[in-house]
Amino acid sequence: METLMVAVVFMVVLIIALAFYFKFSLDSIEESGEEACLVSNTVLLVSVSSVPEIQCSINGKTENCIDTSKLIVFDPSRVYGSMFTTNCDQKVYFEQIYPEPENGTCDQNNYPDCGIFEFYDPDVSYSSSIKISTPTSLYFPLTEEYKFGKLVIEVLL
Amino acid sequence: MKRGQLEIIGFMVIIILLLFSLIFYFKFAANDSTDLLQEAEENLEVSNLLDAIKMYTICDDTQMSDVIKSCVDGGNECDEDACAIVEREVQQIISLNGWDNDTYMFHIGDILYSQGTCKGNTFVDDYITNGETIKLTYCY
Repeated sequence: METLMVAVVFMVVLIIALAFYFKFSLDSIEESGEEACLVSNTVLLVSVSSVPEIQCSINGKTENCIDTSKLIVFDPSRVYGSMFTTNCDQKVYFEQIYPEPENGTCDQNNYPDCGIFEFYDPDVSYSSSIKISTPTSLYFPLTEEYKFGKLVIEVLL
Repeated sequence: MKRGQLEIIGFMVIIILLLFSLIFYFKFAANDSTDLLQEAEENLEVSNLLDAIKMYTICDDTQMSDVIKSCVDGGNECDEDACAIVEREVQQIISLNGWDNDTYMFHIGDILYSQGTCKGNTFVDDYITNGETIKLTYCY
């Protein structure tokens, strides 16, 4: 009888311990998933800047800037769809910072009197987001000007 | 309950507590990857910011890199003293990037063209023009 009691107590304690272990494991896996998401989006900060279809190219020589006239017409989802199918959704856009631009999202009608150049938008609903960004130079070929901007990746949660 | 059985239960509780301790230890010990990621992002930011500053157009056909060259030679650009343009525009761009004045330094050679100095850990990017090193330092 006493041995049975010991076995019962042992089983109860073991079940409780296992329940805690699996809970912590699940939290740990979720945290690893979030970290993997941030890592992949940090890599994206470099990859997007290097997309040849939007990079500046003058007389066949590439420069470290983004050609806004190419940005307006390029659709990355056709060629680079796999770049954005990571384990989390993200919006990617370029934003002119200086000189201060006109408000509004750029399209072929209002270019270059606009401030935000959308690059990729998965069009999904989200409750919150984390923004990471890196400085970039935006080139406007019509006026041959380089302006200061940012590449922004908004990780959708 | 016999004494031996009580001791076994006690021993078992100790084992389970040790197991929990190990779980907590490994959970909090492996946080280095987040710091590395932050450092990689900041390193990239310094490098990209210096490139963006260099390319920024000040006036017709004149980029900041040209103004910096003129500043090294003590000349004018866009009808203004080149060094004054460097000091003003670099501060404006870096401020809009979100950096405080006491977190960065911009040097042309040994001369500081930013408002404050900073110490501590740094990320640095630089390039050479007209024999002078143009250096952007971010302190953290």
